[in-house]
Amino acid sequence: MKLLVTLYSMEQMKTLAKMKIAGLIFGGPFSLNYHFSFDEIRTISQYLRDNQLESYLCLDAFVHEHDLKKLEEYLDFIKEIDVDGIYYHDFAVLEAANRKGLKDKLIYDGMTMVNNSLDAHFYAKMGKGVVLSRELTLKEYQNILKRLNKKGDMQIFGHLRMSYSRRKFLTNYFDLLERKEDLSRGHYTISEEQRDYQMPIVEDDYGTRIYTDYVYALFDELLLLKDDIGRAIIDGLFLSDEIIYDFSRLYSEINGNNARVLKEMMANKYPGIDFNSGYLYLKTNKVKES
Amino acid sequence: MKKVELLAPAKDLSKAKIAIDYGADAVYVGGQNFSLRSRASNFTYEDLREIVEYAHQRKKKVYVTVNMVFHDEDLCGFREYVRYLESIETDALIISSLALMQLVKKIAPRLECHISTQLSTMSSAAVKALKSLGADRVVLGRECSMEEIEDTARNVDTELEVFIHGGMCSNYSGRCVLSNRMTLRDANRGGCAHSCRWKYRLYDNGKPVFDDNCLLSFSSKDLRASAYLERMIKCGIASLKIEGRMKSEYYIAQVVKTYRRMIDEIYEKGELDATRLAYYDNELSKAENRLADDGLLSGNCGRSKHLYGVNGAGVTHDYVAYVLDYDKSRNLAKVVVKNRFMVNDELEVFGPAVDNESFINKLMFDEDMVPVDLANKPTQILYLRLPIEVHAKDMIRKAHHDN
Repeated sequence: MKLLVTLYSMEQMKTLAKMKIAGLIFGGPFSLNYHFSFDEIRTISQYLRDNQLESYLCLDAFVHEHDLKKLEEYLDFIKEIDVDGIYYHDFAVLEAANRKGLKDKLIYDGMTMVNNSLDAHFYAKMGKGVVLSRELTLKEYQNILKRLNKKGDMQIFGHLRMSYSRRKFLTNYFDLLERKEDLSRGHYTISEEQRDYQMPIVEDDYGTRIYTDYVYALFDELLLLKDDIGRAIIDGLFLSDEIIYDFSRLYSEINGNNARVLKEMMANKYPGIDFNSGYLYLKTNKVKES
Repeated sequence: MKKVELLAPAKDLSKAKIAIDYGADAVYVGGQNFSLRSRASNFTYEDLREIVEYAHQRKKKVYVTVNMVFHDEDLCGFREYVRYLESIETDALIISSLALMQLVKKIAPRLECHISTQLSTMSSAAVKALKSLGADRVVLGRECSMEEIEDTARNVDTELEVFIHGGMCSNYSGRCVLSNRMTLRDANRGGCAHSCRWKYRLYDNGKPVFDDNCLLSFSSKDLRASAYLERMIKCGIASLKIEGRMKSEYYIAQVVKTYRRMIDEIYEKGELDATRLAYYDNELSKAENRLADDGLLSGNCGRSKHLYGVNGAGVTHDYVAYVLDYDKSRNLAKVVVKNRFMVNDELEVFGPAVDNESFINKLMFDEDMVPVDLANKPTQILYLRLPIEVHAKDMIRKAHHDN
């Protein structure tokens, strides 16, 4: 299992590069949460190469027809800087990247769309790998990963994305309330009127996304999966540098003897954060009662 | 040029037949497994055989949805099901799994595979990728603007299908699991709880920034693409799709008939002028609906696209009776009651061969031919003496008093 950590600011780069991790995930165009310029991407990629770490670019936005030319240009740039992998979400990237000889770099991350062994194997075969959906149980992860010959990636830490819309929900709501808000400065959360927990919500040019209130975190479970995971992803979105560094260190040191201790340590150090096992022990197969 | 297909939903056998009778070129339906509408009264094997036969006798098509996002536990019986669908000459599957599409191509090669909107296909490049993997048709995402649809169509040679009417996901299809988090119901396996339509309090750094009287909602207005039909036809879209496998027979009949007439008029006259468009929009408002507009087709993703607090239906008519038979010699229609109506109500009949014809309901009888004044028992059989000729399968409706 290789450990990959998301990089959301240049300031994090040197500290993370010193951790016992395999590489960083970052991005710019066609990426929902990374905002690096071409120059910064080039700098990060070079720095990681110099430090024997791997570079993975994230293209997790949908690509609309009028953005195809921009996508072509970006893929040309990616080819030039020669990254180790490209996480993609839209099949437009698949089509264009295949044409440019980048097929072997491609890792499909359908977010919610890869839930079974057949699809996982199918997407893994089309490139370097596949990211399994975040909504699977531990048993499902075990069953699927063991058939993927280390081409199956999974997010092991961080807030999980629950929705992605082209619509600008926050802008529209403030417009309705006749309020002016600078969305780029806000840290917005929502709570459903019958529920207490608050879920991060983000709006930008790509639209609006909502994330889990909790921070998904594998502990003991990782020990059961790590021999079969290709790349394990630590996502630091919305989290402080301290937490990201702590967990990057933790996951590089976790083993059968210390998993429980590390879990308790983190819970004590960050009492306000719900480190949660997500769907690992929860099946989401309920339907409305007839 | 091949005429565009009008594709209608149906949640059971009778509604599928109504969709075909009222002008659909094809219907899409779900079986009892593998489909995304768990609450639809989905089709049994025998129902599927019957609707395929019914459709093919009328030179229409049937597509079967296998569009849930499968987990391993859901795959049991899939091969047998697909082979059965091929054996009864189903025309196509609507599918969201590319791995299963390739499996279908191997074990049931006569079945076409149409890529479901669950895959949220937004560009010609994505369509090309899907075609190279075996797709026969691709349903474009409802987030595409009309300009994007036109440019996509220009750049591919694959059949494209576009939604023209009905409910909208507020998120990209397949990419919303709000329901999973809040109800443990998997939105991608038929359990969607429509959490996007609930109300939410909004905070900035923990500080409330919501209005108690108007909470945040992600609820979308329904889609009504009537104003864009002409452009869709002219840019070569293969199929125009109505959403709503949970909808009633009246909704299906009214919406299908209206779009059938619009499409035919566009082919006949080359265009729809503003007066005719307004007429057809008024017809669509007679079917039950949430408030509707042109979705994201105009490129506008603004506030007017949402419903805040009000899910108010724009429906103007109630469906009150379905015609089972008509005795021309006695001007007597045998009907089954659907909703309340009375003697002396002004009613309107419409059907596959009848445009809207109004009449005053002067006289009606129960099954013993005893005159009655009030029809208020759904499924009750009544006889109406009518001043106009009607036909079996026609529907009778009544305008709301406040319209």
